[in-house]
Amino acid sequence: MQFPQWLISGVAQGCIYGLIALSLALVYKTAHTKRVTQGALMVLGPLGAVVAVAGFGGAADPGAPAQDLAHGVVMGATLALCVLLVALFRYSKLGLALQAAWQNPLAATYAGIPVRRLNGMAWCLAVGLAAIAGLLLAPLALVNANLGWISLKALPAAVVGSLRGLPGTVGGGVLIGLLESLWSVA
Amino acid sequence: MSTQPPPVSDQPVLKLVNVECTYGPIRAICGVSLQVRRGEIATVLGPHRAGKTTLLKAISGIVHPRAGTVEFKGEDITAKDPTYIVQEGLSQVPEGRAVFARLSVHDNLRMGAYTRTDRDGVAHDIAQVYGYFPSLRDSAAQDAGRLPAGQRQMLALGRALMARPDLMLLDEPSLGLPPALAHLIFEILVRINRERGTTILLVEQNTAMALAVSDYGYVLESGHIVREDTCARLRESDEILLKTQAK
Repeated sequence: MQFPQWLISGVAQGCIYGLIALSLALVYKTAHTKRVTQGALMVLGPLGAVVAVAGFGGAADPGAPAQDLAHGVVMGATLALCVLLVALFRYSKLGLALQAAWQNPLAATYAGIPVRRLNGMAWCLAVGLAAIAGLLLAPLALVNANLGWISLKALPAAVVGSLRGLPGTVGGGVLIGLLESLWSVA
Repeated sequence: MSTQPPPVSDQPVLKLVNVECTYGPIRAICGVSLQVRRGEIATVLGPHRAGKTTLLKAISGIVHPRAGTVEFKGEDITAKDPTYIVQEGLSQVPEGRAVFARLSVHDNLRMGAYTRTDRDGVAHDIAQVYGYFPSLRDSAAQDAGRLPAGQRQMLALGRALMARPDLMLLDEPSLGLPPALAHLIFEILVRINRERGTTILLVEQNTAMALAVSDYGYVLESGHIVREDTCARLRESDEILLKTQAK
């Protein structure tokens, strides 16, 4: 069975929005306990990573078959990252400690959890995620040239995600990607 | 339940010398000196805003004293990293039944053992906490935020126990609990002290209850220790009881 092209490219593009949104949601969580201006500056990390990595890799010119391959890679990588992140946050001691630090920083400190250090690690994770998103975006970026806008589109997904958790964030991203793709077909 | 109190040694496990803490221009505690001996239950009594919570925060390394020293097991821990202090065997049950609301009861307990690496020991201690508080075992998989107040306090206490502390600080464990539950919490506290030999420093507004379980008491008023004595003697002088309970 052949899926319509708009569906595939929409989901792939949406996956990237989802990853960027995840990264933004992570930064939001870590910045939660800090001052607003500081939080705003911290967002620059992931956004910079997306643009830098995608811009750098975007020079390659994939043909049409490569485009299909790229879509597959994006979806596969996003799925793998999601599984990894869910495992990290739901089961690992580090992930649970991060959640504890976000839910009640003072109580976490009393439990001996190094809140500031963990937040620093989460921020690095966010930048790493954004860089991967940028890397995945590079082959697709010839179609959608406006790199700067990409992160803006991820924002609503991040808002949904910070309220609904990890699956909601990626799901929101995919939804936006699909709507956008439908829009361009219609 | 074994009722034999642990041997109380004269060696202080915690020693504060002239500790002074300020928030901007406000002096929250002014030159507080106190000692807690190994194996005892000590209590700091005092009205609301006397500086009790600040005192505990200074001991745990959350608030850095402007002057004075905090000694734990003979080591100067003044303004040390809170994680280090927990690792050394000093944990605290914060005020207001603070739990990690969206983690399960079980994961809350795991987080209490964050600084530990002995997996088997942690599993054993979780089972022990469930032994103290059977109702927590029944709701082990539930989000901590959904627990009723009494169980949240039990969980906060259990979480502090998970660090295997030599000294446990408690900030108003009875606050906002119905008397029956408060009694239960205090009973378990005494059991923990008797069975595990854990030294306890208890901060309370509920003077009668604190004096009933403690060995030695300090009375804190506007940042100063105004009186200290054995709890047997403090119980006799109604004057403090009335003063502190009138707030």
